Amino acid sequence: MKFIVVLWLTLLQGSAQGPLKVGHEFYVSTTELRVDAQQGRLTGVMQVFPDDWERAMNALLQREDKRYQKLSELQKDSLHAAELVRTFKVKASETLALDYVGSETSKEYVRLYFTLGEFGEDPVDVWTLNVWTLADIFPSQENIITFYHADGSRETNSCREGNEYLITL
Amino acid sequence: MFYFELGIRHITDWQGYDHMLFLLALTLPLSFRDWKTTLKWITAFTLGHSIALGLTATEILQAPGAWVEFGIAVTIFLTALLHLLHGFHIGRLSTLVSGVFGLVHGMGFGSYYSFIAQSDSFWWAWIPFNLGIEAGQIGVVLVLLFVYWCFQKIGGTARPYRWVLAGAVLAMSAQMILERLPQ
Repeated sequence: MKFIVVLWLTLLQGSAQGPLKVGHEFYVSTTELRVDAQQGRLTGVMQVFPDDWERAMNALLQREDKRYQKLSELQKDSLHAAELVRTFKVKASETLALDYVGSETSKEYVRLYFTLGEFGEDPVDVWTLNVWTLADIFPSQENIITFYHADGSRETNSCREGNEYLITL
Repeated sequence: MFYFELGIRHITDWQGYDHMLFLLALTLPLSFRDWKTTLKWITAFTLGHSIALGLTATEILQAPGAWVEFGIAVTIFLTALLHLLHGFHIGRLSTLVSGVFGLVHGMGFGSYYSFIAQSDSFWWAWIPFNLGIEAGQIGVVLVLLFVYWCFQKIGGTARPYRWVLAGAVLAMSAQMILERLPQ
């Protein structure tokens, strides 16, 4: 009897509720940053999901009434560069300038290549990373960074909502 | 340490509440006295989850994402239903069931895991990540057992609350099943 009551309540509750948020909606990027001590620069590769990236680029283009897929490769590169310069900040003694190099797209990922510099000859004790790429579009966006120091050691951490997209390494 | 913490966050993330809903369904008949059974069930789930995660991330095992998501919702519904049908008695089969259901949940996370672990070696990230999942589950389950204990103290028995909770889990998972029906 109790079982029937529970099942009945289940059906009633189910029909009364709005749609549930379905599944795990993970918004994540991964970035490898390597210290090139000789050049005094960092080299970076950011990997994002293609659908996330396209959605973000389309949001940026909304005001101009353009679609990302319709852009030429040159226009796409210009858009990628502007987005990375805006949202990917690394500070050594001062904030480093980001130079966009290019991108690579497959079904599984979009990879964005860039360099940051110059941080000079002195060893850098503390790196401050403030990376909020895609976070304007996806509030739960998590940007995972694997940082390779000049001595070969590495650290992994992430810029996310919980730490205001700011980490020190 | 980062991947250990990520494992904990994977379990306790409210946005992906299906893990917590499964833990709620799984622990419905349990109390602090049953700590050995509790540990067996959640460890079996973690083992299943870890194995499937590894196999899907390395693409040894491949399953359509829509069916996996649907399967996850079904495991939650079945877990609550099994406990209801058994009158919240602890069955012998539950460790195995928990492990099998862990396999289904692990498959749902494989592609995400292979994406996030690309910068680090697979095992370097896999072990701490799964240990984090186990730690996160133990944390969530301890909270749930504490809630059941409070129910017991207040009402003299936790049984009515278990019926209500089972009903809520059934309702939510039934809706998830309907929403995730593969096209």
